[in-house]
Amino acid sequence: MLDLHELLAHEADRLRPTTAPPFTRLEVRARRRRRAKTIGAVTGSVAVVAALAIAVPQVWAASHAAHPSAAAMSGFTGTASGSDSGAFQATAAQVAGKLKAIGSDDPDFASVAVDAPNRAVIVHRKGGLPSDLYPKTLDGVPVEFGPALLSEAETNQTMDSIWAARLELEKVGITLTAVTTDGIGPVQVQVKNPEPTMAPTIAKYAPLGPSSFEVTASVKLMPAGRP
Amino acid sequence: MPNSRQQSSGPEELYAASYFRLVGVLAVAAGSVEEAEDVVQDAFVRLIPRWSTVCRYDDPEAWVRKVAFRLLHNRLRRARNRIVAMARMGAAPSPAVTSTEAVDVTAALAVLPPLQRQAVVMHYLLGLPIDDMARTLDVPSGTIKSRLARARVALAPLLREEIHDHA
Repeated sequence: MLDLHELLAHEADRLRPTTAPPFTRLEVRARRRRRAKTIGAVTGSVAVVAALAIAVPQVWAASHAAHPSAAAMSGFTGTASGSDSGAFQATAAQVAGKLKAIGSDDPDFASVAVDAPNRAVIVHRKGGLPSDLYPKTLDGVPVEFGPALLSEAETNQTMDSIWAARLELEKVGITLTAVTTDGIGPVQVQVKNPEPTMAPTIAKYAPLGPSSFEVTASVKLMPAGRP
Repeated sequence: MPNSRQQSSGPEELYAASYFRLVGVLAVAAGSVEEAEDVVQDAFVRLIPRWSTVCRYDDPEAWVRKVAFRLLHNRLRRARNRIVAMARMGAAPSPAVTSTEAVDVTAALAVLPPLQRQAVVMHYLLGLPIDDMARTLDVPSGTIKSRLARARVALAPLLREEIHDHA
Protein backbone atom coordinates (compact mmCIF):
# COMPACT_ATOMS: atom_id res chain seq x y z
CA MET A 1 0.00 0.00 0.00
CA LEU A 2 3.02 2.25 0.22
CA ASP A 3 2.81 2.86 -3.51
CA LEU A 4 -0.83 3.82 -3.43
CA HIS A 5 -0.10 7.50 -2.87
CA GLU A 6 2.30 7.59 -5.82
CA LEU A 7 -0.13 5.74 -8.05
CA LEU A 8 -2.92 8.11 -7.16
CA ALA A 9 -0.71 11.17 -7.59
CA HIS A 10 0.39 9.92 -11.00
CA GLU A 11 -3.22 9.33 -11.95
CA ALA A 12 -4.22 12.81 -10.76
CA ASP A 13 -1.46 14.29 -12.94
CA ARG A 14 -2.62 12.24 -15.90
CA LEU A 15 -6.21 13.40 -15.53
CA ARG A 16 -5.41 17.11 -15.25
CA PRO A 17 -7.28 19.07 -17.92
CA THR A 18 -5.37 21.25 -20.33
CA THR A 19 -7.87 24.07 -20.54
CA ALA A 20 -9.98 25.94 -18.02
CA PRO A 21 -13.06 28.07 -18.59
CA PRO A 22 -12.43 31.83 -18.22
CA PHE A 23 -12.85 33.10 -14.69
CA THR A 24 -15.36 35.68 -15.84
CA ARG A 25 -17.78 32.85 -16.64
CA LEU A 26 -17.62 31.70 -13.03
CA GLU A 27 -18.18 35.27 -11.84
CA VAL A 28 -21.34 35.44 -13.93
CA ARG A 29 -22.53 32.14 -12.46
CA ALA A 30 -21.74 33.37 -8.95
CA ARG A 31 -23.78 36.50 -9.54
CA ARG A 32 -26.75 34.54 -10.86
CA ARG A 33 -26.53 32.13 -7.94
CA ARG A 34 -26.45 34.97 -5.43
CA ARG A 35 -29.43 36.58 -7.09
CA ALA A 36 -31.40 33.33 -6.98
CA LYS A 37 -30.47 32.78 -3.33
CA THR A 38 -31.53 36.30 -2.39
CA ILE A 39 -34.89 35.79 -4.05
CA GLY A 40 -35.19 32.40 -2.35
CA ALA A 41 -34.32 33.84 1.06
CA VAL A 42 -36.87 36.63 0.68
CA THR A 43 -39.51 34.16 -0.49
CA GLY A 44 -38.66 31.83 2.40
CA SER A 45 -38.86 34.64 4.96
CA VAL A 46 -42.20 35.75 3.58
CA ALA A 47 -43.46 32.16 3.73
CA VAL A 48 -42.29 31.75 7.35
CA VAL A 49 -43.85 35.03 8.41
CA ALA A 50 -47.07 34.18 6.59
CA ALA A 51 -47.18 30.69 8.11
CA LEU A 52 -46.60 32.08 11.61
CA ALA A 53 -49.19 34.79 11.08
CA ILE A 54 -51.75 32.10 10.24
CA ALA A 55 -50.64 29.35 12.63
CA VAL A 56 -49.79 31.19 15.86
CA PRO A 57 -53.16 32.86 16.49
CA GLN A 58 -54.92 29.57 15.72
CA VAL A 59 -52.65 27.58 18.04
CA TRP A 60 -52.93 30.24 20.71
CA ALA A 61 -56.73 30.31 20.47
CA ALA A 62 -56.96 26.52 20.37
CA SER A 63 -54.71 26.06 23.40
CA HIS A 64 -56.75 28.57 25.38
CA ALA A 65 -60.05 27.01 24.37
CA ALA A 66 -58.87 23.50 25.24
CA HIS A 67 -57.01 24.45 28.39
CA PRO A 68 -58.44 27.45 30.19
CA SER A 69 -55.46 27.42 32.52
CA ALA A 70 -53.02 27.63 29.64
CA ALA A 71 -52.46 31.32 30.11
CA ALA A 72 -49.21 30.55 31.90
CA MET A 73 -48.04 28.21 29.17
CA SER A 74 -46.17 29.22 26.07
CA GLY A 75 -48.20 27.92 23.19
CA PHE A 76 -45.77 29.49 20.74
CA THR A 77 -42.58 27.74 21.83
CA GLY A 78 -44.37 24.50 22.40
CA THR A 79 -45.73 24.25 18.92
CA ALA A 80 -43.81 26.42 16.54
CA SER A 81 -40.18 25.87 17.42
CA GLY A 82 -39.82 22.56 15.61
CA SER A 83 -37.91 24.04 12.69
CA ASP A 84 -34.33 24.98 13.45
CA SER A 85 -34.10 26.52 10.02
CA GLY A 86 -37.14 28.69 10.72
CA ALA A 87 -35.59 29.84 13.99
CA PHE A 88 -32.41 30.79 12.18
CA GLN A 89 -34.37 32.67 9.53
CA ALA A 90 -36.17 34.63 12.23
CA THR A 91 -32.89 35.52 14.00
CA ALA A 92 -31.19 36.30 10.71
CA ALA A 93 -34.04 38.63 9.72
CA GLN A 94 -33.54 40.59 12.94
CA VAL A 95 -29.77 40.67 12.43
CA ALA A 96 -30.29 41.85 8.85
CA GLY A 97 -32.43 44.71 10.12
CA LYS A 98 -29.74 45.78 12.59
CA LEU A 99 -27.05 45.59 9.91
CA LYS A 100 -29.14 47.72 7.59
CA ALA A 101 -29.38 50.31 10.35
CA ILE A 102 -25.59 50.25 10.71
CA GLY A 103 -25.33 50.47 6.93
CA SER A 104 -27.05 53.85 6.95
CA ASP A 105 -23.73 55.27 8.16
CA ASP A 106 -21.76 53.39 5.52
CA PRO A 107 -21.51 55.14 2.13
CA ASP A 108 -20.58 51.85 0.44
CA PHE A 109 -23.41 49.81 1.96
CA ALA A 110 -25.47 48.01 -0.71
CA SER A 111 -27.64 45.30 0.83
CA VAL A 112 -27.87 42.48 3.35
CA ALA A 113 -28.49 38.87 2.36
CA VAL A 114 -29.15 35.84 4.53
CA ASP A 115 -26.86 32.92 3.70
CA ALA A 116 -29.02 30.18 5.22
CA PRO A 117 -26.88 27.15 4.18
CA ASN A 118 -23.86 28.67 5.92
CA ARG A 119 -25.84 30.16 8.80
CA ALA A 120 -24.43 33.61 8.12
CA VAL A 121 -25.56 37.05 7.07
CA ILE A 122 -23.72 38.78 4.26
CA VAL A 123 -23.29 42.54 4.06
CA HIS A 124 -22.84 43.50 0.43
CA ARG A 125 -20.71 46.60 -0.01
CA LYS A 126 -19.56 48.42 -3.07
CA GLY A 127 -16.07 47.04 -3.64
CA GLY A 128 -16.75 44.08 -1.36
CA LEU A 129 -14.19 44.93 1.31
CA PRO A 130 -14.92 44.31 5.00
CA SER A 131 -15.64 47.32 7.19
CA ASP A 132 -15.02 47.85 10.90
CA LEU A 133 -18.39 49.55 11.15
CA TYR A 134 -20.00 46.11 11.36
CA PRO A 135 -19.51 43.51 14.11
CA LYS A 136 -17.99 40.13 13.23
CA THR A 137 -20.97 38.39 14.80
CA LEU A 138 -24.34 39.77 15.78
CA ASP A 139 -26.75 37.87 18.03
CA GLY A 140 -24.64 34.77 17.42
CA VAL A 141 -24.86 35.05 13.63
CA PRO A 142 -21.54 35.47 11.74
CA VAL A 143 -21.38 38.59 9.60
CA GLU A 144 -19.57 38.19 6.29
CA PHE A 145 -18.94 40.60 3.45
CA GLY A 146 -19.67 40.34 -0.22
CA PRO A 147 -19.23 42.57 -3.25
CA ALA A 148 -21.84 44.77 -4.89
CA LEU A 149 -21.66 46.84 -8.04
CA LEU A 150 -23.40 49.88 -6.58
CA SER A 151 -24.04 51.26 -3.13
CA GLU A 152 -27.62 51.41 -1.91
CA ALA A 153 -27.73 55.16 -2.50
CA GLU A 154 -26.43 54.77 -6.04
CA THR A 155 -28.91 52.00 -6.74
CA ASN A 156 -31.81 54.11 -5.50
CA GLN A 157 -30.60 57.08 -7.51
CA THR A 158 -30.35 54.97 -10.67
CA MET A 159 -33.75 53.35 -10.17
CA ASP A 160 -35.49 56.65 -9.42
CA SER A 161 -33.89 58.39 -12.35
CA ILE A 162 -34.76 55.70 -14.89
CA TRP A 163 -38.28 55.19 -13.58
CA ALA A 164 -38.90 58.94 -13.67
CA ALA A 165 -38.01 58.92 -17.36
CA ARG A 166 -40.52 56.23 -18.31
CA LEU A 167 -42.89 58.64 -20.07
CA GLU A 168 -40.11 60.10 -22.14
CA LEU A 169 -38.85 56.60 -22.96
CA GLU A 170 -42.38 55.59 -23.95
CA LYS A 171 -42.35 58.32 -26.57
CA VAL A 172 -39.36 56.72 -28.29
CA GLY A 173 -40.90 53.26 -28.20
CA ILE A 174 -39.37 51.90 -24.98
CA THR A 175 -42.01 50.61 -22.59
CA LEU A 176 -40.71 50.17 -19.06
CA THR A 177 -42.62 47.65 -16.98
CA ALA A 178 -40.44 47.59 -13.86
CA VAL A 179 -37.14 48.76 -12.48
CA THR A 180 -35.76 46.38 -9.86
CA THR A 181 -32.59 45.50 -8.00
CA ASP A 182 -31.15 42.47 -6.25
CA GLY A 183 -28.95 44.74 -4.15
CA ILE A 184 -25.79 43.24 -5.63
CA GLY A 185 -25.61 43.57 -9.38
CA PRO A 186 -26.73 46.25 -11.80
CA VAL A 187 -30.25 47.67 -11.71
CA GLN A 188 -32.63 45.54 -13.77
CA VAL A 189 -34.67 47.57 -16.22
CA GLN A 190 -37.52 45.45 -17.50
CA VAL A 191 -38.94 46.48 -20.86
CA LYS A 192 -41.37 45.08 -23.38
CA ASN A 193 -39.70 43.56 -26.44
CA PRO A 194 -36.09 44.43 -25.50
CA GLU A 195 -33.66 45.30 -28.25
CA PRO A 196 -29.92 46.08 -28.08
CA THR A 197 -30.55 49.63 -29.27
CA MET A 198 -32.59 50.44 -26.17
CA ALA A 199 -29.68 50.41 -23.70
CA PRO A 200 -27.92 53.53 -25.05
CA THR A 201 -31.20 55.47 -24.94
CA ILE A 202 -31.95 54.39 -21.37
CA ALA A 203 -28.35 55.17 -20.41
CA LYS A 204 -29.08 58.87 -20.96
CA TYR A 205 -31.23 58.69 -17.82
CA ALA A 206 -28.81 56.60 -15.77
CA PRO A 207 -26.67 59.02 -13.75
CA LEU A 208 -23.92 56.42 -13.27
CA GLY A 209 -23.70 55.34 -16.87
CA PRO A 210 -24.52 52.25 -18.92
CA SER A 211 -22.75 49.78 -16.63
CA SER A 212 -25.12 50.60 -13.77
CA PHE A 213 -28.11 48.82 -15.32
CA GLU A 214 -29.15 45.89 -17.47
CA VAL A 215 -32.09 45.76 -19.86
CA THR A 216 -34.15 42.61 -19.51
CA ALA A 217 -37.42 41.35 -20.87
CA SER A 218 -40.54 41.94 -18.82
CA VAL A 219 -41.34 39.13 -16.44
CA LYS A 220 -44.74 37.70 -17.29
CA LEU A 221 -46.62 36.59 -14.22
CA MET A 222 -48.59 33.45 -15.02
CA PRO A 223 -51.34 32.07 -12.85
CA ALA A 224 -50.26 29.04 -10.82
CA GLY A 225 -50.67 25.73 -12.60
CA ARG A 226 -50.43 27.15 -16.10
CA PRO A 227 -47.42 26.48 -18.35
CA MET B 1 3.06 35.97 6.68
CA PRO B 2 2.95 32.79 4.65
CA ASN B 3 -0.26 33.81 2.96
CA SER B 4 0.49 37.36 2.04
CA ARG B 5 0.54 36.59 -1.67
CA GLN B 6 -2.83 34.93 -1.61
CA GLN B 7 -4.31 37.57 0.64
CA SER B 8 -3.13 40.37 -1.61
CA SER B 9 -4.36 38.59 -4.73
CA GLY B 10 -7.89 37.70 -5.65
CA PRO B 11 -9.88 34.56 -6.34
CA GLU B 12 -8.88 34.74 -10.00
CA GLU B 13 -5.23 34.14 -9.10
CA LEU B 14 -6.18 31.22 -6.87
CA TYR B 15 -8.27 29.83 -9.72
CA ALA B 16 -5.37 30.09 -12.17
CA ALA B 17 -2.94 28.51 -9.72
CA SER B 18 -5.04 25.62 -8.46
CA TYR B 19 -7.80 24.75 -10.95
CA PHE B 20 -5.87 22.10 -12.91
CA ARG B 21 -4.44 20.47 -9.79
CA LEU B 22 -7.85 20.31 -8.10
CA VAL B 23 -9.57 18.87 -11.16
CA GLY B 24 -6.87 16.19 -11.41
CA VAL B 25 -7.40 15.11 -7.80
CA LEU B 26 -11.19 15.24 -8.02
CA ALA B 27 -11.12 13.35 -11.31
CA VAL B 28 -9.44 10.40 -9.61
CA ALA B 29 -12.12 10.47 -6.91
CA ALA B 30 -15.01 10.96 -9.33
CA GLY B 31 -13.76 8.62 -12.03
CA SER B 32 -14.67 11.32 -14.54
CA VAL B 33 -12.83 14.47 -15.59
CA GLU B 34 -16.09 16.13 -16.65
CA GLU B 35 -17.68 15.57 -13.27
CA ALA B 36 -14.52 16.80 -11.55
CA GLU B 37 -14.55 19.98 -13.64
CA ASP B 38 -18.19 20.55 -12.72
CA VAL B 39 -17.68 20.31 -8.98
CA VAL B 40 -14.45 22.34 -8.94
CA GLN B 41 -16.11 25.10 -10.95
CA ASP B 42 -19.11 24.99 -8.61
CA ALA B 43 -16.75 25.30 -5.66
CA PHE B 44 -15.15 28.41 -7.19
CA VAL B 45 -18.60 29.85 -7.88
CA ARG B 46 -19.30 29.49 -4.15
CA LEU B 47 -15.91 30.99 -3.30
CA ILE B 48 -16.37 34.26 -5.20
CA PRO B 49 -18.97 35.88 -2.89
CA ARG B 50 -17.10 34.63 0.20
CA TRP B 51 -13.64 35.69 -0.89
CA SER B 52 -13.39 38.49 1.69
CA THR B 53 -13.69 35.83 4.40
CA VAL B 54 -11.89 32.88 2.81
CA CYS B 55 -8.86 34.96 1.79
CA ARG B 56 -8.06 35.33 5.49
CA TYR B 57 -7.79 31.56 5.95
CA ASP B 58 -4.37 29.92 6.09
CA ASP B 59 -5.05 27.91 2.96
CA PRO B 60 -7.89 29.16 0.74
CA GLU B 61 -7.25 26.33 -1.71
CA ALA B 62 -8.11 23.83 1.04
CA TRP B 63 -11.50 25.55 1.42
CA VAL B 64 -12.20 25.15 -2.30
CA ARG B 65 -11.05 21.53 -2.22
CA LYS B 66 -13.26 20.79 0.78
CA VAL B 67 -16.32 22.33 -0.89
CA ALA B 68 -15.58 20.46 -4.12
CA PHE B 69 -15.30 17.14 -2.28
CA ARG B 70 -18.53 17.84 -0.43
CA LEU B 71 -20.32 18.61 -3.68
CA LEU B 72 -18.94 15.46 -5.24
CA HIS B 73 -19.97 13.43 -2.19
CA ASN B 74 -23.53 14.75 -2.48
CA ARG B 75 -23.62 13.87 -6.17
CA LEU B 76 -22.30 10.37 -5.56
CA ARG B 77 -24.79 9.81 -2.78
CA ARG B 78 -27.66 10.94 -4.99
CA ALA B 79 -26.42 8.70 -7.80
CA ARG B 80 -26.21 5.75 -5.42
CA ASN B 81 -29.74 6.41 -4.20
CA ARG B 82 -30.96 6.50 -7.79
CA ILE B 83 -29.33 3.15 -8.50
CA VAL B 84 -30.83 1.65 -5.36
CA ALA B 85 -34.24 2.98 -6.32
CA MET B 86 -33.91 1.58 -9.85
CA ALA B 87 -32.85 -1.79 -8.47
CA ARG B 88 -35.92 -1.84 -6.23
CA MET B 89 -38.07 -1.17 -9.26
CA GLY B 90 -36.41 -4.06 -11.07
CA ALA B 91 -34.42 -2.03 -13.59
CA ALA B 92 -30.78 -2.91 -14.05
CA PRO B 93 -28.39 -0.03 -13.38
CA SER B 94 -26.57 1.24 -16.43
CA PRO B 95 -23.01 -0.05 -16.65
CA ALA B 96 -20.20 2.30 -15.72
CA VAL B 97 -18.52 4.01 -18.64
CA THR B 98 -14.83 3.24 -18.77
CA SER B 99 -12.20 4.91 -20.87
CA THR B 100 -10.28 2.83 -23.37
CA GLU B 101 -7.16 4.64 -22.19
CA ALA B 102 -7.70 3.52 -18.65
CA VAL B 103 -4.49 2.54 -16.94
CA ASP B 104 -4.10 -0.12 -14.29
CA VAL B 105 -4.70 2.16 -11.36
CA THR B 106 -7.89 3.44 -12.96
CA ALA B 107 -9.04 -0.13 -13.41
CA ALA B 108 -8.19 -0.85 -9.80
CA LEU B 109 -10.12 2.20 -8.61
CA ALA B 110 -13.01 1.45 -10.95
CA VAL B 111 -13.86 -1.67 -8.99
CA LEU B 112 -14.55 0.49 -5.94
CA PRO B 113 -17.95 1.99 -5.26
CA PRO B 114 -17.73 5.78 -5.80
CA LEU B 115 -17.95 6.73 -2.12
CA GLN B 116 -15.10 4.34 -1.26
CA ARG B 117 -13.04 5.71 -4.15
CA GLN B 118 -13.54 9.22 -2.85
CA ALA B 119 -12.42 8.16 0.63
CA VAL B 120 -9.28 6.53 -0.81
CA VAL B 121 -8.34 9.68 -2.71
CA MET B 122 -8.92 11.98 0.25
CA HIS B 123 -6.98 9.77 2.64
CA TYR B 124 -4.19 8.27 0.56
CA LEU B 125 -3.62 11.00 -2.02
CA LEU B 126 -4.34 14.14 -0.01
CA GLY B 127 -3.34 12.66 3.34
CA LEU B 128 -6.41 14.01 5.11
CA PRO B 129 -7.01 12.62 8.62
CA ILE B 130 -10.16 10.58 9.10
CA ASP B 131 -11.72 13.15 11.44
CA ASP B 132 -11.21 15.90 8.87
CA MET B 133 -12.78 13.75 6.19
CA ALA B 134 -15.74 13.01 8.42
CA ARG B 135 -16.28 16.72 9.06
CA THR B 136 -15.92 17.58 5.38
CA LEU B 137 -18.35 14.92 4.20
CA ASP B 138 -20.65 15.27 7.20
CA VAL B 139 -20.62 11.57 8.01
CA PRO B 140 -19.44 9.72 11.16
CA SER B 141 -15.76 8.78 11.44
CA GLY B 142 -16.80 5.15 11.61
CA THR B 143 -18.32 5.43 8.14
CA ILE B 144 -15.03 6.74 6.74
CA LYS B 145 -13.07 3.98 8.46
CA SER B 146 -15.45 1.39 7.10
CA ARG B 147 -15.20 2.76 3.56
CA LEU B 148 -11.39 2.79 3.74
CA ALA B 149 -11.24 -0.72 5.17
CA ARG B 150 -13.48 -2.10 2.43
CA ALA B 151 -11.52 -0.22 -0.22
CA ARG B 152 -8.24 -1.62 1.10
CA VAL B 153 -9.63 -5.14 0.94
CA ALA B 154 -10.84 -4.59 -2.61
CA LEU B 155 -7.65 -2.92 -3.78
CA ALA B 156 -5.10 -5.18 -2.12
CA PRO B 157 -5.02 -8.03 -4.65
CA LEU B 158 -5.24 -5.72 -7.65
CA LEU B 159 -2.45 -3.47 -6.49
CA ARG B 160 -0.25 -6.41 -5.48
CA GLU B 161 -0.79 -7.90 -8.91
CA GLU B 162 0.05 -4.65 -10.61
CA ILE B 163 3.17 -4.15 -8.56
CA HIS B 164 4.14 -7.74 -9.19
CA ASP B 165 3.62 -7.32 -12.96
CA HIS B 166 5.78 -4.20 -13.06
CA ALA B 167 8.52 -5.81 -10.97
